Amino acid sequence: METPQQPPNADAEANTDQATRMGSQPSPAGSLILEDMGTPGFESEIAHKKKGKVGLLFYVSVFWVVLIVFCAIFADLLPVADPLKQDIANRRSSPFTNGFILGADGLGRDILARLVHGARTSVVISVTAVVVGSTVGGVLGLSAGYIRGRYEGLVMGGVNTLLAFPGLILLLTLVAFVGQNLPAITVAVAFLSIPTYTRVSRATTLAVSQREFVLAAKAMGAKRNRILFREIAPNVAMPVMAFGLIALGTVIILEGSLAFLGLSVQPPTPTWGTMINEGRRTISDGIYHLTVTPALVLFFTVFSLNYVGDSLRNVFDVREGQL
Amino acid sequence: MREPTAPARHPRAWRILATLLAASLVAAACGGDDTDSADPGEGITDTTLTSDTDEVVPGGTLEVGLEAEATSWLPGEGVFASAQTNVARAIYDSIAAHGADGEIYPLLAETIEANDDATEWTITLREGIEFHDGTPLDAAAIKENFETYLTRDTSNLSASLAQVTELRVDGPLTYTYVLATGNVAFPDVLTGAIGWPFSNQACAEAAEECGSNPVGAGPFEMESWQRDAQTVLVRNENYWRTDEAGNQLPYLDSLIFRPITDEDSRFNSVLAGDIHVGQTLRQSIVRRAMEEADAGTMQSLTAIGNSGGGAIFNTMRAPVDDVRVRLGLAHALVQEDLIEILGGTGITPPQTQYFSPDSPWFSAAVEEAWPKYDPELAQQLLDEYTNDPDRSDGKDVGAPISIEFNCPPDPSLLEVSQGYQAMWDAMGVEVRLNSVEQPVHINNAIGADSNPPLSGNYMANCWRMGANEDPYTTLRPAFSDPAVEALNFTNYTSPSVQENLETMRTAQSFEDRYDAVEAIMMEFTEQVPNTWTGGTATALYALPEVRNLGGWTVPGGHQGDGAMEAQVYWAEVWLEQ
Amino acid sequence: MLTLIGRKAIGLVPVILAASFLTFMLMSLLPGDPALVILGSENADPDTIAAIREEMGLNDPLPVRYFEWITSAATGDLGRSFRTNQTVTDAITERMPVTFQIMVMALSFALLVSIPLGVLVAYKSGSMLDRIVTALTFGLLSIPNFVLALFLMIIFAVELGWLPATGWTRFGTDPVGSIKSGILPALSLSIGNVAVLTRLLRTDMISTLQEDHVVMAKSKGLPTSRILFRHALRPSSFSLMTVIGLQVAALLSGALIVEQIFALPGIGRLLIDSITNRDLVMVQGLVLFIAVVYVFVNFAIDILYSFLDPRIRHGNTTATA
Repeated sequence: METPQQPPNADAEANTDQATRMGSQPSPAGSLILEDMGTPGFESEIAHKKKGKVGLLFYVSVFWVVLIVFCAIFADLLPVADPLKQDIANRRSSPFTNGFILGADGLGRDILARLVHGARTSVVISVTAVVVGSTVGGVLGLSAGYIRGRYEGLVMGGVNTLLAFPGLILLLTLVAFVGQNLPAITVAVAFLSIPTYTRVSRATTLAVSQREFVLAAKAMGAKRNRILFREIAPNVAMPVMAFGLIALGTVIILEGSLAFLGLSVQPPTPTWGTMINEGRRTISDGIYHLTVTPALVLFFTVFSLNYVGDSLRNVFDVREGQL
Repeated sequence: MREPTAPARHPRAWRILATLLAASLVAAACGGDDTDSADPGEGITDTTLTSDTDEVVPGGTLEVGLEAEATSWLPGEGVFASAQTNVARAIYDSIAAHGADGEIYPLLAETIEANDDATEWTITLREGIEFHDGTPLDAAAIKENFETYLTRDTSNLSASLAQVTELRVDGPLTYTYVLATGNVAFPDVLTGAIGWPFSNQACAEAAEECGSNPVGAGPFEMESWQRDAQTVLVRNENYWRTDEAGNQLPYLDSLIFRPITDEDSRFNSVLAGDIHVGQTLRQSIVRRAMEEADAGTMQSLTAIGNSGGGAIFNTMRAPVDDVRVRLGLAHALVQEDLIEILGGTGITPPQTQYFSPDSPWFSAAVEEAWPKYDPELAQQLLDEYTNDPDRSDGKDVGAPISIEFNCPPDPSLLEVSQGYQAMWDAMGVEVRLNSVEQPVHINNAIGADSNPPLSGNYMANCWRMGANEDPYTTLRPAFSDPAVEALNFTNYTSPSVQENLETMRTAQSFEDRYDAVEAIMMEFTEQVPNTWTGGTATALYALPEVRNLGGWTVPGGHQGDGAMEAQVYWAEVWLEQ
Repeated sequence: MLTLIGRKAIGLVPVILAASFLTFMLMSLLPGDPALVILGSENADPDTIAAIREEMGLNDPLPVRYFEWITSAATGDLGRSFRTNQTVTDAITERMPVTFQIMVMALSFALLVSIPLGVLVAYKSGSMLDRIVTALTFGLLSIPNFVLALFLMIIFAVELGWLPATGWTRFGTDPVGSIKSGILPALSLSIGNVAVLTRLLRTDMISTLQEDHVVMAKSKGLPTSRILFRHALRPSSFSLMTVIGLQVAALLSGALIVEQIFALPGIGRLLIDSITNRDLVMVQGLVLFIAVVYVFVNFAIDILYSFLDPRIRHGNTTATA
């Protein structure tokens, strides 16, 4: 029943989702992982590539991701300045002046310290949003794809409703009641990403259900639950998780877009998005480091996540292909 | 998003009885002819107040970038802040206008006269003026404007017009505003939306679309309005004014206003030559414009009005209901640093009262008395409160004071609110910042559903105070009985404030009114219903080929008040071809 | 076939209704009185507020208001904005061309770059070039569009003066000027799509290139370019179309930020303004419009699918609708 065309379709759905939710830029990162999921051509592509071979860029990317996570966890212990301490006299200091390694922002706060502490926001939002979103969405999609019938219609109806509705409104409402804090924003982002994962997971479930080993298990009279949890779920989890890995980067960019709209975590808490947004007014004064430095850190992080995600997916999927 | 403007009113006008101002403004302006050569270094208020019309070349299209789009162009329906007022002045002309000398001069009116107790203001209109659709501007038209549109239930001018009990037509061109109580500051309102006559016939024909099809008596008529894109105005061939040499005004063929909300994008648009003129109320952009003017690539018409930014305290909310806390917080602020954060150093002087140093109402004694940065005193005052067993917030002795500080999510306001936070934090005060969108922010300040009613749902808000109008117009709503006056956001009042307000309403002599104003300002230095971040510098920045931008005049050879609040009259602007 | 289309079309109605009802509830829950937005802080007289609330019908119960709105919406009357007094349909018809043009330009640009690039790297997959392009596409995906927009404006408008920094020229009045005013926004918007489409095409083509008919064509000795563009790109363009169709909804949201920066009178800017100003009627209308566009694009693709690939007609393809 499933056709080769289904996967690109699923891919596209996934792709539009988060962006549509938040009214941010399209979140294309999400789509990359899915494009070949479950396609017949897919295994052959992997065979075509040299299996599991990763280059220098991969290790550099891994190092960067590890560094960011390290900063996020140990921000308070690292020998950096207080990210909230202001020094108005030395505001907008250039890098390597007045004791600021990466310069100072518009309030004379240490940019390096703010980057290190800002990593925490980015990591918390992205990891939580992805874990919550993929778990809830994954389970919903899995059950919808397997149970089918009316239940499926209901789930997908809900998903489509959420997709057709600008996430910005939901986010504003949530923020108005809970406050512009990390938990509220994380929950909003997670919630809004659920439809994406639901679709991915459902599409994969549909595809996997038709695979030989599932049909074989059915034919052998295996119980419904056993088939679902032992045969299908593991094969659905992998692509959903792989998708999530790359979605991490998307969420980090999303935080930046929210900051641009003044909807990220309440200042003075440092976040990369807020730093870029606060700094952008200095560009016209010919001062670039306030914007460019956080933008570069964000760039390298998202790039690394994408690259690592893509490389790991190849490795993962090879294993899956051998099942 | 714009800064909250409170208690600024529609007529963002200059003031009457102002003579001191004229001296300083004109002195600054006469220093050099800015529009000519983008002469650098004119000082802070370098609004050109001399006309530059000797070698006029008529014609051309001028494009102007504004900070906001209008919601409607109909007085009573639209909200007219600085951006929209610029357009409205081109379309409507006003009954009166502010001169550079601080006087209010008749513009569409021939004369404006009051009776002895200032309860009746009689206006005689100029003869032969027609609206763009050919209907005459006469007393009957004004009356219909007033009754059908300006005072209807949903009109946003009805509160300002509550003081007018009747509009009486005395003759074809003569009519009288009859006030409930005397108000010597009344002509102020005729320089703004209340004083913009429009064609009743055109409005009736357009029905619901009246607000998007304005027909006034001004130098330009509306050709098209594409919201968020552009408002295209073309010259009114039958405009009633000529220049001194007898040439028909306006000089320009057409005028295009474009709302560009992002400050940087607007500035870049002038730099890139997409538009000729930009408007700003942001210190950092004013600074940029002045730098470009120094480099000769632009001209900037900068003005410091009476409005200033700061924090308002809800004096009915613990702990800021306690004057020690308010005074302590005021002494903890380094105003120079706050101004620096806004990028206003060297542009904006520190603010200590509702008036800038070049206002006739400014008091040096108040400036002297206003709480200065004094960490020891601040700490002492705040400690006194925290150690008071009867402290109003009910916390334990020694527990830190906590302040909730709300601001709209505008980038510069966010930065300055972080400055406040750091300065108060240095005194051991816990400050929680909240970003609150504009409508909610205003909602909170009014507190229609708060307990007691109108007491406000906030503790401390960033806010903009003061306006270039008569002090009575500004201060009456802001400090009248908070139980009935929704616009008393701080809920601060006192018998002495009430008494002084009464003097300001009735006294005829400037000295008496000045003393009353000074007494109120002096009381504020001790009671601190609000703090000051600094004055608000405004600017129009323009390419060098734009001429006579701030040099508009009022008939009779009176110079206008230039680019005050970054708004001008456009009839006499011309473009070097 | 027709019953299938009909069945699917009926299935769309609840989605649109649910999205619009959700908007209605959330917007009403949001603090901030729309009456105050109309008045501004300086005129916020309680009596006037009450009069305006009454006039706007804000005092009626929520379900009543929703019912009234949705019934008149069904007849094509989306009401008038509280704030601007403009009819919602006018606002949409006035602004849609702007957003639409930006989207079309962004997609055209993305296709112009990604098709040759995608085909090339599919052909050379595994090579150094492939790896560089892969890294490059990931790089493009990692640039937030608001940062890109700022720098594009400074470089191409302020420094070089080639293009206008802000503003919009209508296509009807000046096609060249209109395209010029759309270039920078479209570029900012398209950058992510270039990456997505290139990656998609690459993967898709690699698998197509191994299919029988391509292998056969190869064995027949047809020129490489002919094989690539005639035999391989054609089947791949099928999934490309799908993705493009779905990108439309994403682009619409992406336009939000770009329209703000470049001061374009589009749908996205109106949506933000209307939300922050609690312009309930306008937000409702826009959300309904966006929901309808989204749902119909998906629907159209779904149907297109069924036409192009008969196998699906009998299977379940509600995945996208």
